Amino acid sequence: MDLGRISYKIAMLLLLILVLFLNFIPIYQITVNAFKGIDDYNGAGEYAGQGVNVFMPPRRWTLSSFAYFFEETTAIRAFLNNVILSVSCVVILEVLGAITALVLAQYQMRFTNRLVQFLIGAQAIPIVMTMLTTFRVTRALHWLDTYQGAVVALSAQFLPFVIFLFYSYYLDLSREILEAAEIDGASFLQTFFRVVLPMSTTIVATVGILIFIFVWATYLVGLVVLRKEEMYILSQVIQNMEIALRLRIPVYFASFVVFSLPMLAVARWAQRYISTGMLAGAVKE
Amino acid sequence: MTAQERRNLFLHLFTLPAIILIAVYLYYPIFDNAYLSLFDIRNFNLQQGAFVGFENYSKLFRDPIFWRAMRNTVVMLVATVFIQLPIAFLLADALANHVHEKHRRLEAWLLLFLFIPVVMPTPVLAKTWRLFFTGMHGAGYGPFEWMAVNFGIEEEITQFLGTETVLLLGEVKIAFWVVVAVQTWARIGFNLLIYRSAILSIPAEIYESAEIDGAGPWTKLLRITIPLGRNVIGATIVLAILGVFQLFDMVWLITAGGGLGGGPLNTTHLLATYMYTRAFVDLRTGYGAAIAITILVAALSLSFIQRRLFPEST
Repeated sequence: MDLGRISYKIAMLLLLILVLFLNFIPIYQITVNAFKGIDDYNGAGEYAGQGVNVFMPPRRWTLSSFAYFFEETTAIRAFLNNVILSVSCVVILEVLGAITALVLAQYQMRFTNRLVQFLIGAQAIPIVMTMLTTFRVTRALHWLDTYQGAVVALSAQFLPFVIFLFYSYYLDLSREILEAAEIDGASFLQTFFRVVLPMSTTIVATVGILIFIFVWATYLVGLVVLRKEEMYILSQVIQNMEIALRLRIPVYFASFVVFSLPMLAVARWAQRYISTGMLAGAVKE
Repeated sequence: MTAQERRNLFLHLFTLPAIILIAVYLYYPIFDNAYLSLFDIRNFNLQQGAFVGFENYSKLFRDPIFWRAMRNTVVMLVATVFIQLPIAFLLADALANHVHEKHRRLEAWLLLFLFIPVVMPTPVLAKTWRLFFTGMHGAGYGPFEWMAVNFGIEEEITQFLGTETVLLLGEVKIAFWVVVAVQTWARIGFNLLIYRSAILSIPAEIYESAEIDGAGPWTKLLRITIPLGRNVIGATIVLAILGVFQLFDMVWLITAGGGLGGGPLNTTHLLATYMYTRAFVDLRTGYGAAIAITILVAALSLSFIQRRLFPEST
């Protein structure tokens, strides 16, 4: 084995270990502290005099912090808000994005290309700069502190990207299948739901998972549109709980576990679909 | 117009909802912000806003925090392009070309652990690292401080970094670098996945014939993988450029302890967090709009320049 091969293996191994180690720290920290009792962490109560326990495994593993977390009612409501927002956005973006992209890809007019640029080019607009206007528009529509206000704002935010993914995919759709459906008398919507959609499972899955992940963790739109506590989404609750829980940090970590669980559940699919989906979108054209 | 053309035109009606949404929430803000930035408006109260022309912009250009935020944003971009992307690419190359064929299961596990920070919600990661570096509000040690004290290297650290304490997020000189480090780390897995897919699509024969010619792994990387990966690298750079102007969540949540972001003495602001602070916290609508326009111009200029230099990327 020559020097090149050895040095490569060593370099890559070191890099891998470094990154895995960095990934490990937060996971370890969350796991170890979420299943810890409050007194255990603070070195109080029955552990008085034994010192704080901020980074070592619990002196006794317990679910008491989770119990405490669920007794905070805002937490459950926030979880529900998250589910409502995520599911709504996924549905809206899938249907709207796919139908729009299908028309653009397969039923072109002379101006379609410019329309495509308009819709997909909006990805270049930094979302943060749209927030002032989003607030004003949402307020004008009396949609502040409503689900629809947040869902519509979020959908608009991700729409260019979703259309982009569907468009790249539908450009390759075979015309014959669409024409065959038309000959059989199917309307456009029927063609879409009965023919095209079943053929698009990969892209639908990719979009669904990506949007679910993006919306689940979203923060900025929540900050701007959702201002009442009962409408808060999980990211806002986590930010606000930092002070309230400063003496109950294990509960804070327990909230992280709850917040992350749905994400970890879809992680394996996310991995698969992101690599195929993003690659197709990024390298094409 | 033929029947087909008429039908296509009719079908374009289905694109109307998308057009409206994107026009209202993404394009209209450009004009709205441009308009608002010409007035001294507070608290979204347009009626009482006096027209001030470009005064908001001249104030902006004399604003040291703004320039700090601008500098920080550029630094973040540099860190992403020159640290995060190369790391992601090297790991992707290692996985795709050296682990993939022979150690499928190992690769699957490695990929999963490398990918977890990408699925974990940003607020969770942000707060976890925040807690790592600071005990919250003096409620106790964070792990970093605890380890420093426990291993007795507190003084070594403060001397090495030139700080007063090991509470790094409170230190004016260091806080921003902590934020950069965490933000750079966070997206490695994402780009890793993209690169890996691209590298896997390179035909094996190319590597095999290079192998026959005596090429080692470094040569294959430099002469084959990188050149053939030009497009995808370009695409991720574009994403990075556009993305850096949007970075908000991670930065804000690491530095905002249940209150305002910005870090010690406003040293950790990026353009996005600064705009949010001025517009929604200080309620200086006109000024915030001016920052928003500046962000837009900066983002579009950079991506324009980038496309001029590397025309093939998306």
